[in-house]
Amino acid sequence: MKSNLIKAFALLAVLVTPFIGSQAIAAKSFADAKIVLQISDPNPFKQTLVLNVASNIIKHYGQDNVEVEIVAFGPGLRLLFAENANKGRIASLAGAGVTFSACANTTRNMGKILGHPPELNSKAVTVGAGVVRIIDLVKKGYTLVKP
Amino acid sequence: MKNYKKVALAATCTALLGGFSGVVTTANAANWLMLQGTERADQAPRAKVWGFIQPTYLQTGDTKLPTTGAAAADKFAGQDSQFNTHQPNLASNSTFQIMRARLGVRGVALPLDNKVNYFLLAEYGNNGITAPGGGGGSVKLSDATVTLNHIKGMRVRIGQMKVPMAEELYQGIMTFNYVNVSNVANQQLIERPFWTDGTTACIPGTSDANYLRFCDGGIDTQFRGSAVAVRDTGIQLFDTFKSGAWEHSYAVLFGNGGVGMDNRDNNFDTTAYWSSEKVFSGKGPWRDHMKFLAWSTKGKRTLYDSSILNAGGSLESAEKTYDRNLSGLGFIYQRNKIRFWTEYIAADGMIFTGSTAGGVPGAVSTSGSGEIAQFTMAPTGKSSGYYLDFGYKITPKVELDVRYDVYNRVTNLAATAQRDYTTTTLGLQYKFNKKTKMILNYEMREFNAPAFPSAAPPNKVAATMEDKISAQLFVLF
Repeated sequence: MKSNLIKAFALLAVLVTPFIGSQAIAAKSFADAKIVLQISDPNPFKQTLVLNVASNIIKHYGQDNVEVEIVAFGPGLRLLFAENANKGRIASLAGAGVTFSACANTTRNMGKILGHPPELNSKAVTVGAGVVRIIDLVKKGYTLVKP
Repeated sequence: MKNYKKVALAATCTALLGGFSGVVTTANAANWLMLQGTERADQAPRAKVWGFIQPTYLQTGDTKLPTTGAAAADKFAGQDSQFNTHQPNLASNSTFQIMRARLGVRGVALPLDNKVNYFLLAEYGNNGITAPGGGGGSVKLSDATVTLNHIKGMRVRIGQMKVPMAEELYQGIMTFNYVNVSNVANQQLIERPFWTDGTTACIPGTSDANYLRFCDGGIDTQFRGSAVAVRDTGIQLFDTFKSGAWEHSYAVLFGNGGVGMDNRDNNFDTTAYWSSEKVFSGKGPWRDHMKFLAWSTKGKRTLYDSSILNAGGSLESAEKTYDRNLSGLGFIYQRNKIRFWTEYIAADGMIFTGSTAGGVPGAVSTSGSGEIAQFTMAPTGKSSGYYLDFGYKITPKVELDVRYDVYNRVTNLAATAQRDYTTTTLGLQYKFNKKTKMILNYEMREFNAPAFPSAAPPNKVAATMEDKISAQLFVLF
């Protein structure tokens, strides 16, 4: 009896999960605003600035009504290094729905300089090319902001 | 789309203006060990140029050394005293000078690798670092270190750096609330590296040539090198551990025993430091916090015994090795408008004791003997001192300060050798902005020889110590 119940719940979960996922995506796609923030600058202050901007956008719209993605490439990729001094803020922003995208090309090139691939923040998602990711997002209606 | 752009622009502007109030916040990891020894991980520039300038005006009364009727005390009667003139030149009672002017660069050599940091700073001002004992002076390196952050819990800093010790001196200059440091810090924590103890009369034409080489050529010949503004050259192991609102820090430093020092005695100085700090708010140098700290430095120094040199002894026979041990405890409380600091410091060995009969080193005796005043040391002496320091911000820009400090010098040898210093400093700070301020200080200074009656010659000399007025403009860039 018990094993049948477990099987039934498992089946239900398998059937329902895709639906829940599409519901979430659908909800996001109706966000009030969609912003992509670019960080590609070596200036360390820009790291703080881009995080501040993301926070302010979320604060303004509310985390359920906005999509914010920070795309890091070039020297700006340092923001998404695992030990970056802002990792606490990055974790908080990720928790608030902000997406962090790391450029694979930059990661590969930095790895050549370092002699090993840089360890990235666990909240970061690797994308093929940072600039292409931005172009794609703009085509999808995102507003590009480079603080 | 237009609206999105407006919002994005507004968000950028708000962030630029510092208007971020934060749906997310993070605690700042900085304390003096970390602020001075490390860079922010993956957020430091390749080279950040920075520094500070302190144009200063200093004034005391011009009361001369008195005639007391005792030959030993009257050697320089009628002349300026060492304590009524201003460091490092000891040439006048009132002077404009650039007390400190430092220019440096710090950062990460390879921005992709946050494990290696560097810190370089040079002194251009007029002080004991650039012009020990006065004179022309020259630019000197004050700090030059490389920090390796590869081992969790044990960062390694190598080079010339500040010694972790009393908060009064270990803090960054941007948070120092006075123009001058307390008596114990000035006389004992800042080290004057002399060749001789200077306690034997130096008389050209009479004294032995081996002694004269260190005492007859002007005030700077007695210095082996720059005054040591609590720096050492060596290796430091350190780190900070967080536990809620508390930060616990340790450091162990092994060094030669001073800036540019050659470790002549072949003994390294060993410094151990601990602090536990509760962070209330803020970040970096200006945060509100409560800190407990303890530290200890043990080392040895060599010094030529002036009596052996003057008696014709060789340099080898006159060179003696003495302990130089220091230790301290401190409590710091800083929150909102109120600041309270107190520290206690004990010193054992190599005690600086001023100058011959209070004269300005290099001055020729008025007694006709031809004796030249020198700086003096009590190499086996002990001393202790403390201070109580209160600050209150009456507005965000204006702070009132008062510091009471006591220094009991040479407490373990003959009672007649002891001198007790007490200074009460009244201060006013006006902050033009976060990095620029004016400091005005009035120091009510006094000292006495407790083993003597007030009318005895040593106390007549002591009674001529004047109050001091200091005004300083400070800018950090």
